[in-house]
Amino acid sequence: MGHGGRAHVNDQELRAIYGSLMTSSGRGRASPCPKPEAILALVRREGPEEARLAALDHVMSCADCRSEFDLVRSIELAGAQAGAAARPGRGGRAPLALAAAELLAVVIGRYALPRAPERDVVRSDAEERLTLLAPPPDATTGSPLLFAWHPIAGAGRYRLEVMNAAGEVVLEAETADTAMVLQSAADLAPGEYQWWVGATAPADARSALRPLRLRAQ
Amino acid sequence: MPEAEQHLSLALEAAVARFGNMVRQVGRRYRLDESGLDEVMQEVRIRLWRARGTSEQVGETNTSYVYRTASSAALDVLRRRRARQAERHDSIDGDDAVATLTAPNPDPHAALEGSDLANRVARAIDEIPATRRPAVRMHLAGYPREEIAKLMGWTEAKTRNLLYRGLADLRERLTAEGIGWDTAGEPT
Repeated sequence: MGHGGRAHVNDQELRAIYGSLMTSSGRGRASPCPKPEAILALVRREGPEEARLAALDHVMSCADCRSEFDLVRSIELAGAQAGAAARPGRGGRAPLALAAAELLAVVIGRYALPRAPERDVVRSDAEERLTLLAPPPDATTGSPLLFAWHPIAGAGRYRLEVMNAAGEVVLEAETADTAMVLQSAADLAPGEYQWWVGATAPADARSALRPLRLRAQ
Repeated sequence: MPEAEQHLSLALEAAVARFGNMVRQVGRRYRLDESGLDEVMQEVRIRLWRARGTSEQVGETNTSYVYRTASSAALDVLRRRRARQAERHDSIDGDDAVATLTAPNPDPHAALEGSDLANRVARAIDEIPATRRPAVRMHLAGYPREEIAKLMGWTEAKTRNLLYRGLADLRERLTAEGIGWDTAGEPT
């Protein structure tokens, strides 16, 4: 390969080149280093996505900021692991909501689940199918929602996410059961949402995204 | 040192060490530079020690309190580091910079080629649309897709979509820069 001529790289080489670009400080570049507070906001998922994307773009191209990001992130993750910090983007009430959802899930999951064979489309590359059962695509705001799905062999836990029209996760929860009542769903504003469920290890399966339209009561 | 104070000191040290170990454990997954963490934990010790007697919380120091102190101490440590770096950069405007530029390179031709390739890769990445570029950067920096999703609060599907499209953009721009990219498979 000559200066400015054709070159071929594989994944490993491309990452190595990127790594070499990352070894230099980004300070003084066109995009200024985000303030430490902006790095913290990025880690905590606070503030508008556009601002976080801009911060992340710089952080991932500046060795100094990347090192700061890793430090802040490790502290926040350790705090969350210790139960001392809210998990990013969830706010302080999330652990309580999660605990309440899990408690209800145990009761409702065992006795009150409809097992109607309502099939759903699954992600094309998932080997196992995960079929969603409830809630129906139309529901009203102001009440907790029951989410339910068929069990999948080998699933240790299930993770549920509800997203708004912009694709942002507005609710998330985990359970070992196949149903949960999300009390915090009562606070959702009327609008279009989508939700999905994924099984965690050892099984690896996901449902398709399912629409959920919430109308005002 | 009086017995009560010694007890407090040991309790503080235990709490700080416990939280520091937790951060280290998490940090190992992210190639954390531990010198930065040491600086933060030292700052935490100082803050907790200064607060003794003036804060009831110190008497019953727990992980939550240490975490909050560490989180705020980290910001101060970063600010101080940046100020130090800015001072260093100012001083490099002197003779040191000339010395660095004139240092002999064992293979100047190879270095030039490597730097030319890196510049072309950097240009290609910079041209990826801003909404997808950070995901591509994280991928190239070695973060798995799940980490990108977790950090940005994106669904797996959204992350996958943005990353695939971003990598397609990258391929296109690398081609325009005269760089062929042989990929092994889908990003993980």
